[in-house]
This record gives sequence, C-alpha cells and structure tokens, in this order.
Amino acid sequence: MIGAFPELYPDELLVSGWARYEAWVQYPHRKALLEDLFGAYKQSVDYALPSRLGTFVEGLPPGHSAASVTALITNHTLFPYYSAFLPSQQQQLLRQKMGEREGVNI
Amino acid sequence: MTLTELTPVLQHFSGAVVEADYQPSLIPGYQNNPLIEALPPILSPVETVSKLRHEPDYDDAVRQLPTEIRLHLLHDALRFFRPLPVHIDLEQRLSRLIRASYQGRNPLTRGFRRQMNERLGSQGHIHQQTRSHGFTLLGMSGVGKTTALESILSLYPQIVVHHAYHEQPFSHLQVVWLKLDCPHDGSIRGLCLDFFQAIDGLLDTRYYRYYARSGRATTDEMLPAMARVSAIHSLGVLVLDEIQHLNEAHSGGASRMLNFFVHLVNTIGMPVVLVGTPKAQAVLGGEFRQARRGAGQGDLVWNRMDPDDIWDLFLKSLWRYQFTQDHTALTTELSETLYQETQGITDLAVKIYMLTQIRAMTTGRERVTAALIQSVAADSLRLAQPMLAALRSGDPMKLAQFEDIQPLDMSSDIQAAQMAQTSPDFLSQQPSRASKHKSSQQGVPTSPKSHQGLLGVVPASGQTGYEALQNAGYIRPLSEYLKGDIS
Repeated sequence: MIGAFPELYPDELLVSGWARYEAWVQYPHRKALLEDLFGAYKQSVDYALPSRLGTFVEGLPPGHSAASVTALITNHTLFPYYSAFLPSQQQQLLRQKMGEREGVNI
Repeated sequence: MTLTELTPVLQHFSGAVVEADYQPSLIPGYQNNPLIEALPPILSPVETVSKLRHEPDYDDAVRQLPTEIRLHLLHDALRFFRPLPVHIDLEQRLSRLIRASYQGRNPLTRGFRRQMNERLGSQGHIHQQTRSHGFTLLGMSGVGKTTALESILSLYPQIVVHHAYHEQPFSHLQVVWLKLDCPHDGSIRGLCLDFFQAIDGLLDTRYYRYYARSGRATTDEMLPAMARVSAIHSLGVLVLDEIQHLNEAHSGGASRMLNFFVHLVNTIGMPVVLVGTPKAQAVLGGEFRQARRGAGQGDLVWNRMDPDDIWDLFLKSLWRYQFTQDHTALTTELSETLYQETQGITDLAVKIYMLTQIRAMTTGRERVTAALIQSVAADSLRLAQPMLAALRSGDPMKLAQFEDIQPLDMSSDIQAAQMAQTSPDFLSQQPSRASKHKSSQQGVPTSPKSHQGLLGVVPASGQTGYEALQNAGYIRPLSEYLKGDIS
C-alpha cells in the first residue's frame, strides 16, 4: 500500500502528483516507485492519459481524497482535452481502459 | 514470489489505530497542528493513575473455589498493574516529549516537505532549535521498565489516520510511537530491518521491500531511509528497549547507532527513548554522552523500590489478590520478609507472592506465612540469590559483577502445581527450607517518611491531590531513584 500520497492540487496532473510522491519517498530504485504505484514496474508512465488507475487508487491510504478513478480522469489528466474530439463511445472506452487494473494500450 | 518475501513479520508490541478526531488545544504552540490535536487530551496525574491501573476483578468468595480454578484466577491476577509516582513522572515526560516533537514538524506548514527533504539530505548537524530530545531510562530488569513504558504508550493510539483537517483534505498516516527491541546481536542492520518490518506491519506498506530491498540493502542505505520513513509518517517517539544488547564489537555498532539517534533528533526532530539495564551504561559513554550533554538531557535511573511508603502502597494493592482459603492480613513482618527476599524488585515481588500462594494451596496449608515466603524465594530465586545478596549488601562493587537478574517464568510453576493436584502424595510434601530461614531477620531500613503513610496526606485548600503528594515528598522525579550506587 502507498503510505503517504500527497494531496493533489486543483487541476494538477496526476503525473505531477506522482513526481511529488517520488520526491517525498525517494525510493532507492525507480522500479520500486513504479511497483508501489502501479503494482508492476515494467511499464512507462504516460503523462497525458495514464493507465492502471484502478491499481493506483486501490493502493492509496484509506480515505484519500484522490480515491476515485472517475474524478481523477476528469480532473487530473488531459482526458477532457482529448475527449472533446472523440465520439462518446470512444470516450467511454478510453475511460474504461485508463481505469483498469492491468496495463493496456491506449 | 521469492523466499525473502516470506520473511515472517516479527511480533512487536503494538497499539490502537484511530481516526483523527481533532481536539483544539489550550496551548498556543500546539494549536493548528493536526498531529498534536489528534492526540488524546493531556492527562492529569489522577487520570493517569486511573487509566494505567489494571486490577483484575477479585472477590473474597473465590477463596472457596477448587484449587485448579484458583490457579487460573491467580494467573490472571499476574497482569496486575499498580501505578506508582514513577509512572506518573514517566507519563508526563513522554506526554511532553511527543507533543514537543510534533511542534517542530507540522505537515501543514508551507514548504514542509521541501524543508524536510533539505534536512534529511544534510549530513552535518542542523543548527536549528531542536525542541525534543528523548532520554535514557536505565533500571534493573524486573523493576518494571518495559511494563511501565508499554502501559504508558498504550494511553496513546499508535496510528492516527487523518483524512481532512478543517475541511481541507489532509491524508496522513501518523505513527505516534514505535517500540522496538534492540536486536540481540546489537547490530544496526538488524535494527533497521526490524524498523521497516514493524512499520510495514502497522501500515500495510512495503517499505521493507523498497527501502531495505527485502533485506539486501546495506546499513548505509537503510539509515537515511529510516529517518525518511520517520519523517513521512511523523513518528512521534522511537522507544528502543534492551539497549544493553548494543555491542561495540559488532561492526562498531554501538557508537554508530547512538550517533544515528542523535542525528535523528537533530535533523527531523524525532526523540529517541533508550531503555535498558545498567549494563548499558558502558555503551552509552563516550561520544554519545557528549552529544546528549550538548542537548541538555540526562539519564534516568529507575531503581528498585525502597522499603518505604511506596513499597507499602504497592504491596497493599498486591495483597488483595489472595486466593488461599484462609485470609492472611498484611503484617509488617510479611512485608519485611517479602522485601528482604525480593529486594523491592517489582517483578520478583509479584511472582514470589503468587508462588507462595501456589505452594500454600498445593500443600494444603492455605495460608501465607513469612516462612513460606522465604522457602519459596529460596527455591525459585536460586539463580538470582548471589545478585540479591549483593543488593542486600548495598555494595556497588559486588553489584557490578552481575549482569542482569533473570526474570522469573511462572508458567512452569503453575503447570507443576496443576500436575501435582492429581498426585495425592504431593500434599504431604513440606516446603524444604522453611525452618532454616525463620531467624533470618536482617536489618530492614525504616521508612524516613511519616508513619501515617499516605493517609496522612490531606490536600490543603486550593491544592490538588497531586500537589499535596508532591509537598509531602511522595512524588519525586525519577532521577531521585538513583541512589548513587549504579552511576
């Protein structure tokens, strides 16, 4: 479980929150950080449309204000910008894929 | 999954987990600090006593129950805990220590994490006002150091879960205290690994895997990580028990570890309380002492009880737990005998009293007598006798030869008593050495206090009971328990 995730600022990108988390915990290896956040280290982190949010949210400390995948996608990723140009069906698919527990191609 | 992931988590003494409930503090320095406001209110000495005291239910009627039932009740009565003035003093120290340590590290202050990162990254001493230092508590094994600390720590939740502070989201897992035993080999490495495992056990985090790399990390890697984890989770106080295990021979363990503790205090402002037997005095010398002198803290030495009012108070509370069929009143003779045999060491006194009762029950005598106490003490404390003799002589040179007395393990005695119940010929057995000890009345120092005891202390108007006790000399700082022999 993630022990101490910072509170996200309004409109802060998730990737920025993760960076602040890293600056705070300073694990000796990058792998550890990825595994801590996403449960797997063989993956890259997309700043615009991150995935594996399901796993991330589950690992948050109990009652953390960021513990909702839907709110995270809407408020802390670039999803609103991309989705403005997508048909609603694809919007749904994109949301779903970002929120999954396993890594997926977006 | 690799084998290292299966390392069993050690059982640590742990406390309660609570959701933060902020109580505004009267003290200006504590206000607007969620870490302090989430702690329970500051206790008065009376509240401390009532919260600490543990007196199992007792009813005179149990005397008539069959022996096997009474043995169970007796075992339960061993959990008896009577708070004494030293406990109040210790509680107040810890209370101030924890709160003061949080004063300097309010996570809601601007730039808190940046500041902490700077402090954690620095190698040298930070010249900032360190508010909290911690202390060292030394005392013979059996006087109740660990029990006292654990009871007092239990007055605080161990983990406080924060979600929001004054409508502002604030997610934080605060660890108020952590008590670790110094590893038996006295190595820093062992301590670091223990630390991460203990935190992981409490918070369900995986720091052991990430910082200690499942045990593969070097000490140099782990020490800064330990400081960081303490900062991340606002560890209020780190209590390290059994520091007599610290050993210079193991890779310079002692001085390095002690310097690390000083470093912890100086960089992140987290106090460390070291607890051990007087044997630890040797390792606490040298550099570490210099550092602590600079910080203006002293050692506390917690001696055995003196045969005075406190001993009487303690014994009176203990005496209630009598399970023999005949009621034996507490007389001066019995009190003096028990003191002579146990030299005021709490653990021994409780256990000898209970063992005497076991013997009284199993032999069918059903009475506690001075001779029986002596005989039980002679049998059960055989290994501790040379040490007790040294204590009686009061000669510090003799005392220094003994490392520590071994705590008594009573479970085997109760087991034996239960077994003996089934064999009738046990009843005819007499305590072996009872007669020899009858005349061994050694000089018991008389109490310097008034003979009225605690009853004589009546608070004057406008005075609290605590102040009255203090004026009458019943409440003294722990340091006075140092009789000068052991330093």
